[in-house]
Amino acid sequence: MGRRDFVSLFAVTVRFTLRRRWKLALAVFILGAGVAALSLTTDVNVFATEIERMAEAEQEPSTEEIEAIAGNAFLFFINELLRFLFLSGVIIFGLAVPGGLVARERRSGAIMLWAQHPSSLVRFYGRRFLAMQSANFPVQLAFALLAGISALGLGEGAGGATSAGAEVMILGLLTCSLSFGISAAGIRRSSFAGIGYILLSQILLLLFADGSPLARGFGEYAANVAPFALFPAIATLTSATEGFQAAAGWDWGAAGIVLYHFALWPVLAALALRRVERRPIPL
Amino acid sequence: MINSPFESAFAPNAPGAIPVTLRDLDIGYRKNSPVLAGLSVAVVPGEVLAVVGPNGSGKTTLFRTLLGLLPPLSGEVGLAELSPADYRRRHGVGYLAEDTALPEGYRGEEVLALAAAAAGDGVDVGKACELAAVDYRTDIPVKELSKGMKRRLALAAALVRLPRLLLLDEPEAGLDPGQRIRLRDRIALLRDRMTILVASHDLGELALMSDRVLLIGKTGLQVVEQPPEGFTRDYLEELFLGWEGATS
Repeated sequence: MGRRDFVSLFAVTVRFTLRRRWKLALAVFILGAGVAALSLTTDVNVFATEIERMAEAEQEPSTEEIEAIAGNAFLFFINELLRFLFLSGVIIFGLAVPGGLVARERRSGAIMLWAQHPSSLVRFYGRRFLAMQSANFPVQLAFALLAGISALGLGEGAGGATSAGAEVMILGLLTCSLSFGISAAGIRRSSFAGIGYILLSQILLLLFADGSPLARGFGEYAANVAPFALFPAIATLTSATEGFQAAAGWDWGAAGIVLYHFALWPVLAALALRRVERRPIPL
Repeated sequence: MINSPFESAFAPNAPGAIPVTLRDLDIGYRKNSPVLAGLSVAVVPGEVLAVVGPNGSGKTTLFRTLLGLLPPLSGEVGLAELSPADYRRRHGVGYLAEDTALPEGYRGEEVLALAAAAAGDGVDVGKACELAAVDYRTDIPVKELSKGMKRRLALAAALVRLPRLLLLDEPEAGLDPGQRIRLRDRIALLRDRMTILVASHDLGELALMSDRVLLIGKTGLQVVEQPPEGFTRDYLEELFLGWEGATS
């Protein structure tokens, strides 16, 4: 394999990925820009601060105070909605980049175009995955910048902005790995399967949280195993990136879990592809 | 007759066609019910062997075995004295599948670039396109190509490494009469450097391109040598109907 061929494969995969997904990337970028603009131009935290202050106050709020809070509540709602949509967009974009690639080529028989040649399927799809992640990277970097700007708008400082950006970046790259792994296992709708897995993971991790009835029921063992079998909780991603903030130290446990999940899905994909190579491929 | 691409397609010292040896071969998916049993044939380098049989008789299964994707149940397969899987991993085998399945969403040129990447060293996409008569624009999505264009694109993807063994499953499907003639001419010229196995139901085409015919059926196999006057469509039809009657 000459360098020219690799560049060609790389260029084809990057071009193909961006051609298929640029509209989705643009939509997520617009949402992120909305979040950043809102954070920079308004004080979106005022609602939460006011509610907290009122809860602590002993006297009933005045009519003017209630009207002001109602106005801020709308802003708070819009901000939270935009943040939710932006974060969902980051996840969906990451999942959509591989978008069932291996499974589609397996089912359609297109895999035979590559299987007749000397390159192993693990190597061939592995390189295409790297190229897809490389196409994903600058897009996720743009999303991360918007998340960082938004954190700056919220007054979290440079460390907080870097931490917020890194969290978005990790989420986008991790979901791409996840979708590729699912696709290599033969599931065509890897994006949907990925969303289901992430949602289920978040729910189960909440249920397994320390002190919850489920955690007590299943015991310590299940609670310890869950982070390795389930998609990392958003809180874990936050902990893993908090080290960028001067005051916070690095959470090596959370960072380890994130790194483990980065390695897990490509390894599972390689095992699935090796199985395809060893068993008859449908023609 | 088209001959210009071929003179330059192969370097004078380029490796030539390979022998294919099948000895007492049983192939299939279950040990106790092989799809084909007791197949013995030696295909000499540069030979064009037609594989003829009713639907479901095992033509594609034979190709899967030669690609190293389906291990033989028993017996031996040798591609230049290597096992099919080893040979494919080292050198690659050109294969045109019966159902031309191209990856969704890609453009023609991108399919060729991916095939070239899978093929590794020594690829020449331009030559492969010449050999497969991909003479149309390849910067358009494959879904916009006609069936014949897709077949030619898939053939070019199989030829990017100029393999020494070429397996063609229904190569003429979807081609117009002109393209069929061109395909036949190309096979005649490729045989100088490739051993070619062709499975097809078009006996007229097979009569014009084959050196020998391997008849396969549920109950047996037969290798038919070319008669002195050469194969004709009528000859093969008679042979096939007699064979089908004997094996059905």
